[in-house]
Amino acid sequence: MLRRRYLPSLMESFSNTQLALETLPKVDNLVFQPLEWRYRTVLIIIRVFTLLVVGVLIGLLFVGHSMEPLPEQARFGLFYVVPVIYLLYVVWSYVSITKRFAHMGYALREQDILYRSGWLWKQMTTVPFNRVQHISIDQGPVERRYTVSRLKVFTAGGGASDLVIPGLDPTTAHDIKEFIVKKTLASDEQE
Amino acid sequence: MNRNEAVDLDFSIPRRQSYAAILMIAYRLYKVLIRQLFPFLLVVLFGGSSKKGDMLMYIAGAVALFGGIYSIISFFKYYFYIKSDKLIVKKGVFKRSTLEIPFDRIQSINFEQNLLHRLFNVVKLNMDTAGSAGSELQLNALNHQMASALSAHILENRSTERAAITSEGAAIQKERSHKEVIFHLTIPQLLKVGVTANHLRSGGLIIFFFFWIWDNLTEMGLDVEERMEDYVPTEELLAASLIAIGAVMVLFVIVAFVISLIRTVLKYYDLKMYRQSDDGFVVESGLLNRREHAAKDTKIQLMTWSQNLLQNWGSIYQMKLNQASSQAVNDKRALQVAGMTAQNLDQVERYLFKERIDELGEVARYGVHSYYRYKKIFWRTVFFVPLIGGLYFMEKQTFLICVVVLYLIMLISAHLSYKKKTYALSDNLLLITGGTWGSSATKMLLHKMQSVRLLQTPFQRRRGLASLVLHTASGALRIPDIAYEQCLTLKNYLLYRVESSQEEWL
Repeated sequence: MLRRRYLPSLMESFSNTQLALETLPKVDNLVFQPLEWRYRTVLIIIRVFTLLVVGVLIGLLFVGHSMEPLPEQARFGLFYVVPVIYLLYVVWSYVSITKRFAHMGYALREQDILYRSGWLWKQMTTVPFNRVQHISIDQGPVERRYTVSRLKVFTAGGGASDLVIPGLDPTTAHDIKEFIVKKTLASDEQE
Repeated sequence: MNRNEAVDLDFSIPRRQSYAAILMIAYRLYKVLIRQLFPFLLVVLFGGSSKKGDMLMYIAGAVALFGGIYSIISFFKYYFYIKSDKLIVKKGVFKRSTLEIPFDRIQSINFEQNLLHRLFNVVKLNMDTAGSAGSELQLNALNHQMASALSAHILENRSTERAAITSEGAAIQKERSHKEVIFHLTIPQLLKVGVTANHLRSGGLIIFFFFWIWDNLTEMGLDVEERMEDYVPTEELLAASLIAIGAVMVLFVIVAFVISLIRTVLKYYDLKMYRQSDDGFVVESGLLNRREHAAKDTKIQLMTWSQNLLQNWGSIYQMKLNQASSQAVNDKRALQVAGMTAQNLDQVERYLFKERIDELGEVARYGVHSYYRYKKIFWRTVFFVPLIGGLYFMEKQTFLICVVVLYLIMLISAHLSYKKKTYALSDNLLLITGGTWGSSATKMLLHKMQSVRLLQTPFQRRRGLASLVLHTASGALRIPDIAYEQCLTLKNYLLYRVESSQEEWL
């Protein structure tokens, strides 16, 4: 029989785990560590670069003769509308990067590692230590300039399930890596 | 021929494959060449212009000769042998390369026989290694004896496997090769599967094929439209248009039906599912290409059954067992069985989940928030609204009626998918159901989860909702649009089960 209810009490469906559930640390009480402030600059630099490329392309559109087949009024309209949209997007980029950066953060617990990101479209990924396959630390060219590292935690679940924490201080990244490796080894020995 | 009859062969000496491998290599090489040069070949065949055609023929001949010689050389340059628990393959015509695969890395070994293989009584060995894409190894052609000896040798010498055997004791080790048929698809059942297959997909294939031919012909410089006009006087066509369209539609339906019937027979002919030594399944099927796929219980991550509307009326099910493997070969490695009854499914579940399957009978099933329905309605009908408006103003009555009917169908389908989206959670198992006109259900052991992700869109936040995505080693499961608080509780519970579990997920 299908009982259809919205927001059921979970305790009813697995009452035998009640105790365990209560003793578990709740994610929502967790304090998320923010990323390095420098990483915000990295994000902005990368965005500025893409915006410049797009801007140059739009500029070329106006300089050349490509607009000529269009009627006079349409050209006039585009001449004002496109730059306005572009400027709005520049402002939006700044706001969204700032907001997104404020929401990015990671947390380490006894048994797993969490990373959250997104401002409007939020997400939070958790990888238990006993499912970690391997860990890598990467740096892109801009990231190297600002000495931040990117920690990647791989599981057997494929690309979509991996956890990536950008904007870490290289020593922090290394420390986290060591910590997880130790945890993973410990859980392997237990098994 | 008994495949499990293990013969002791000394694999430490480098060996070549069976001579039939030359043909397999050549066959594969020519297939690639022909596919690449297809438009070119068509031009040569239909092109007519004599001198150019001759030259191209010579080139084609040279390519064919080169391919033949290349196949023979690559056969003689291909060796495999075993050295200290590693399978070593040396190959390459121009560039020699050595592949070393430790036995522990080999996830599964599958036998495959297509028509060519059956002609020479050889098998193809596919070895899947856990790892990134392209890390699988194929031995094109081995005789049965050597293939089974090799696979037995590898499976027995894996250190992980060894541990399992010693703990189970010697008695079980003897029974390892025990195989029992648990499902056999008979001819009437096969026809039932064919009749209830997804004919829409076959229809899509026909359309795709038609466009592909059209594309290739026009690419060659043949103006198909022009030629058609040459053959068919336009006015007569107009006069007979209604009858013609009707006939084409009927023909289309019949052809789609026949194609899906043929596809089913080719794929599922004489399908047999075995239970092997009580720790795995083997499925073999196929008419021309006989495939054998094996999966150990521990490696199976998800079990899914599904039914379309026709299969629902015939009360038969499709079943799929997803096993952990590298991403690129994921779907190929899934065990697929068609034409099962509810009893057959029960039996497989009992083998796979043991007594834990009973847990799901005791827990409640929950639906998702009605936001899911409105989301579905939005995405399935958003394109209809301007269409209906446009047709109304253009006063195209017949079209309008068709579109409105389609719109209503979409509304119903959105509602049905909402109704059928449910989930249930017990101590060890997660069940997620779905479907629109048909239905489907996926079951997963909780400890198979690799990571979990909580997602929330701005629209969900306004309603206090979120979605949960569970990643396993063979695909992800999604519980969409449930209360945020509940999402967190579920997530914590799942993590607790994974983190406190000592069970192997692989």
